[in-house]
Amino acid sequence: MDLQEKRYGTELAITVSGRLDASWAEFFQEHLLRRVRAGEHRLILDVADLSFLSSMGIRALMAVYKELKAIGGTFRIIRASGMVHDTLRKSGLGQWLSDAPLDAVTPAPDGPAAVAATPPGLEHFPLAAEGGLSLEKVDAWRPWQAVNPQMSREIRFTPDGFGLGIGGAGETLEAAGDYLGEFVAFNGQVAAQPPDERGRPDCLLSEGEFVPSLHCVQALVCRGPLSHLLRFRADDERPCYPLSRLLAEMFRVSGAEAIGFLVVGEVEGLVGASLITSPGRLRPGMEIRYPQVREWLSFSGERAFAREQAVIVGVARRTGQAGPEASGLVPVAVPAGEPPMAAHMHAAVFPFQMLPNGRIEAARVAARLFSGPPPRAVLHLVDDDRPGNGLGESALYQGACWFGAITEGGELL
Amino acid sequence: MSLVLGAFSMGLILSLLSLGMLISFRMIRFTDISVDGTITLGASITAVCLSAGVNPWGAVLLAVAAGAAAGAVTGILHTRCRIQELLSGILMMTALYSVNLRIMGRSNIPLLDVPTVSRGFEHLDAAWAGADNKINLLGWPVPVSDMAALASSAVICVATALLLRYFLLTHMGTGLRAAGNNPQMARAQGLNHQAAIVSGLALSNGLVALSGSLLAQYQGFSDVQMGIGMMVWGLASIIIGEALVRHNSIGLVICGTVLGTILFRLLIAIALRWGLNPNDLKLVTAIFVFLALVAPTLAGKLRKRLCQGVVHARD
Amino acid sequence: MLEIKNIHKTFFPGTVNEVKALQGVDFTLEDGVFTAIIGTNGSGKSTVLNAVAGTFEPDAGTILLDGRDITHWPEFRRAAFIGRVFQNPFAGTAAEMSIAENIVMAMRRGKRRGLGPALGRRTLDEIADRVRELKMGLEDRLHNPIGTLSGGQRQALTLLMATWLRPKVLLLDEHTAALDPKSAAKVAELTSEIIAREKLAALMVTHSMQQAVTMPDRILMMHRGRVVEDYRDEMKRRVRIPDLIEAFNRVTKRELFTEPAAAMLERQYL
Ligand SMILES: Nc1ncnc2c1ncn2[C@@H]1O[C@H](COP(=O)(O)OP(=O)(O)OP(=O)(O)O)[C@@H](O)[C@H]1O
Ligand SMILES: [Mg+2]
Repeated sequence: MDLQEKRYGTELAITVSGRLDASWAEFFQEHLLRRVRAGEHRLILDVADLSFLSSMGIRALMAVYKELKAIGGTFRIIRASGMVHDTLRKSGLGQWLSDAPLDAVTPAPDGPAAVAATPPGLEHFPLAAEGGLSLEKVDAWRPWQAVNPQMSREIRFTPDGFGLGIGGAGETLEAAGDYLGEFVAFNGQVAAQPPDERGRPDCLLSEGEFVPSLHCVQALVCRGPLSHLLRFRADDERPCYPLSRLLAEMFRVSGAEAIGFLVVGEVEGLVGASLITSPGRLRPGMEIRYPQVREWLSFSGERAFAREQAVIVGVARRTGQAGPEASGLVPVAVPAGEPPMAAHMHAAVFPFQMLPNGRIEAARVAARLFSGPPPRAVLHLVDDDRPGNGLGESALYQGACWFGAITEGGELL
Repeated sequence: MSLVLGAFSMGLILSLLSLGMLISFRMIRFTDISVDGTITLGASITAVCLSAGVNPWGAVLLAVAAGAAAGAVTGILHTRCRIQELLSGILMMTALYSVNLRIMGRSNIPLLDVPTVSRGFEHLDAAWAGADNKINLLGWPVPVSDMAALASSAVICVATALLLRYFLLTHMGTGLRAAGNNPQMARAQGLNHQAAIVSGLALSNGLVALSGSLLAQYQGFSDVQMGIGMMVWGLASIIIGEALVRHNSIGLVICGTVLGTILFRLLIAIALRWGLNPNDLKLVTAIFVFLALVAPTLAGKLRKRLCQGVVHARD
Repeated sequence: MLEIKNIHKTFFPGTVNEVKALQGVDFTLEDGVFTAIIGTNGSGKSTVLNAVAGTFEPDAGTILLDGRDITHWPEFRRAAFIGRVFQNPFAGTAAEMSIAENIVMAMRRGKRRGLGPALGRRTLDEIADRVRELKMGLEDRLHNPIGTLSGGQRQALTLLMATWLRPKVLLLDEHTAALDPKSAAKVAELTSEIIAREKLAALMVTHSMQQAVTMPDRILMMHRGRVVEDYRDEMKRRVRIPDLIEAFNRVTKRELFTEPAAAMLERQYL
């Protein structure tokens, strides 16, 4: 089997020649899915020289087709003849066959085009949204002091908000006290890491009347519409996007001083930490230092979760040289030429799922992720700036950022 | 003819040495170079005993016991005191030199006109002897005393070989061989590997001392220098024996060793007859052993070369 | 019942080459429980087995077998109660001795070895019968040197030898690791079969997660000379290969949480 590729406008034509049978199907499927992952969502298969197509080959085609369908891509097969044509038709897959000549000009994708004047690799889509985000903050715990129960709050995660923090589910704070851990919430869905080295993250999903709620000892929750979408994709020039780069772009696009955001993207590497013992077990007067801290906190130790899909929820602020010290935020790395920033970000890691290109809806993307296989981890992202052997900050290859300016409660930061 | 007869008798006597070394070098894999000392130990104890009028068989037993004790000490030096094999052997050999001098009181004891183990066989042989006290062996007249020596060595050698074969095939003997072949396996099967080395060396050196004892009686003297080079001779005999049988069944290996020793003695006798300087004998033996040791590797390399040559030629 | 109580072993103490191979290993192996030990290279798995077998004496701690303190027994004395199979298929048998002679060594494990002939008719018949059960056709080659057999055949025979007399504990140190996949599967199957039939207490070191999950009743995970995980009973029945891998990752993650990392997190973690 042999594969040749050629680009026609927004479509990628792949010429398949030889036999597509059991011995080649896997290779073929992987190759095509790699292309889809790299953003080729409009595929044409030129099968003029394909002499044989087995059921295994059809299965591979199906897998690619399903993936493309889920993300709104297109898939067509041209110049099928003889046996291949017959096989496809008889398998009920005639809808893939297309007579359109290859050199026909393909129409531009639907929907309003991205606003120009963004750097290459980035696409900005303004979203029709009125007003900004309002911020709510819970600050009942700081490592490694005992939790202050008076300051803690139960927060209901209705679909109009998103947030991050440390909390646990339960009747009362008392009951949740042993289960306080990092969480990420978006659109009425919560992914929470139980404070246990072996624990798997749990999901709480809005279902009918049910609204997930957590007793929070730390939280930053934004409510309101997200007014911008920024798509990013790594290319030869920029092999990946560190989070500070994305933050700087979001500040630049929104022009705001403080933003709340949701980023979904393919992970290059995440660096972070999460609780493995609930802060509810801290008592006044306890002193947690190294090495005891290892019983409380787990550190990713490497750039983890490469090629998985991360849902990052965060709040960030530009700090300016003379600005007041940000509270609840930590200074992040600063890309060259940008003003200093501070942020607090949590990430939930899901098995990879493709995103459609162009303008996409945050709620749809999140719903698909949360209803799929369970998340692998939820962690607090850090910038490992140790000189010499630091792991650096987390980075993504490609994905989408939805964000908006914080107009109410910004002073809490 | 008496030359051949002598070589046979010598060979049979020294085959006991070879059998002893077969146990240490091949069975328990212990490079025991104290052999040079223990063979002399056997000879000197025998000489002293016989001179003092002790029954020759008693003298032989005493020699064997002393040899076994010496072997056990070598083993203990190695196993308990963790001294390297070679060094334990060297220590023992060096110590035995003085011990032997002490036993004999001087460097040489001649044994003229003392009863030896072959005496008993002379009476038997005499029955066949003619008037001149000679036996007609395949047309050659042979003195009764020579014939008796041959017969006595043959009987002792065969008896020892049979006993040894039986022993090596018992549970204890099997354990001994396993300890040499794979100590880790032997220990895992509950065998006291160190005890096996000590008893193996005792057995080995007992046989060597037996050989020394018979040698002194056959040659008619004991000399403190007589052991020098014996280890290499024994090794040469074992190697010849292995080349003869090429099999690892115990019986055949023992046979091979005995035959190898006899053949080796015959070769030496012939070489000496052809005018080889007796002083060069040890050098020649050493070269022979060296060649036997390196020949397999050398042959392997040579074969590889040749094969490569063939391949190249084909290209 | 084998009780291992807080044993420590340091190789080359006080030198630059110092290796703390065991730092307080503590577990009990009940009768009839087949336990696998897994762990990264150099985590001390073989050292634990060697300590039980008596290759060396631990620096501290005790080893009890059926309540008897065997900590200071020499290796050959313990062998009366312990069967062993090594990783190296050539280590467990004497290459130049015949199959029958090797087996007869095992038939006397821990017993007196007297001056009776080792291989009588009856003994040979008994050996042939048991060897036949291996279904390797070796019963016709009892007098061949064992060195002429393949690694898999030798390992199967070593296993047979180790269990010929019922051991109180069977020690298996990666005994299928050096075999080709087919022989490894065969020896693994034989191992499970013998252990189940004789209801043996066994300790098996393995690097194969598959073996660890499917074969034993219990899994111990070692790291840096300690037992860090102990899956048994219903925990063991639930455990799958990804769980084991995750457990490995957890341990390595802990390792990467160094003091400088902690200092960094003190600033970065809220
Ligand atoms: N006899 C010895 N002398 C010196 N060091 C040793 C000895 N035996 C083991 N060690 C050291 O002790 C540590 C533990 O070794 P051990 O063989 O028990 O590891 P293991 O878990 O069996 O590893 P592997 O999976 O590689 O077999 C290693 O660092 C090793 O180098
Ligand atoms: Mg090991």
